[in-house]
Amino acid sequence: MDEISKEILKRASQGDIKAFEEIYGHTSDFVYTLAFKITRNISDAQEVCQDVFMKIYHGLNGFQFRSAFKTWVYRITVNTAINYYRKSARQSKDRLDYDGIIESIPDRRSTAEGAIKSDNEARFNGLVDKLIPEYKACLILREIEGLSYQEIATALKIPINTVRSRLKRARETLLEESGKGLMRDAV
Amino acid sequence: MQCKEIQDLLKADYFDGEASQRDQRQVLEHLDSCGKCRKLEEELRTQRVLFQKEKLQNAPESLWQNIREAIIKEQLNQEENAGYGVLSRLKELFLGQRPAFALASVFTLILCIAIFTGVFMQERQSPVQVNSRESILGYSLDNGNSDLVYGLGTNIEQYFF
Repeated sequence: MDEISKEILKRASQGDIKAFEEIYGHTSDFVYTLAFKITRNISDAQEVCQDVFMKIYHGLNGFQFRSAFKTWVYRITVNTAINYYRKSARQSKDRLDYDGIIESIPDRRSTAEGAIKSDNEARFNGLVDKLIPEYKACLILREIEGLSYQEIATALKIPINTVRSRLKRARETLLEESGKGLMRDAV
Repeated sequence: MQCKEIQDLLKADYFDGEASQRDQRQVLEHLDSCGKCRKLEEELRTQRVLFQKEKLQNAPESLWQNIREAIIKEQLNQEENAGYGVLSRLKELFLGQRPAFALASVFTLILCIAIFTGVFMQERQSPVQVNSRESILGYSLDNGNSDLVYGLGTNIEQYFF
């Protein structure tokens, strides 16, 4: 996520819809991806996104620039998505059935390299889905956004040791779930 | 370092570039001689590649429209509330948690209305009285027609006519 200029943030905080659209343009893909990765449901991800941007809109007036804007957005997004994930009554009913995908794909269904890769990607997504949202959030901020432990700790307001242990546990879970070394075939 | 410690570093600090130089060196030395830990490192790298393959997804276009509409709706509500706010503040001022002040205000208001009405009526009454006298006189002066004269039955009337 790119950093956004103070000028745009100030204009948006004064109700300038064009400036807010610019903020949306810079952040929406990240917010949507994170929301989707945590909720694993398209309509839930959209609702989380809308909620996040309304929170940003309301909070801009009080934003003091003590932390980076993107850190603030990370925090709002992760907290909103996790809360939504927990509250959603439909979470087990409508979520993408990765367990089903894992079950239905034979280990060596096709010899074509592309098919193997996509199978393994689906498997991997299924494995990621098994992680609890707090682990997923840490992993996304680390692996996709490339944040340091300190930055993750600041964004999520958790101790740095918690970041370390969540990442470690997340990787252990993925290794345990993958079991047969199938992930190696994908690369 | 034992395998357990090396594996802990591999799953977090070493793998994420957060380990100290000393730890990094120790891990590298260990990996040269331990096939089991090397295998773990390979698995972790594969895991990372797969995780990073799941790229950023584009937010649907309709999403911005929904957010934009919600913001505009809210801005309009705020403007409406700003107008309503003056009334509600006045209401609060008079009917709020100050019964004595409210009572005094109402009493003062009634008093003001009474004074104003009194003065106004007094000012308006004088010319009416004059006019009525003039009209009576007028009737009296140009009433060549006795039909137009109304008998008022007063002493003044008797004096003039």
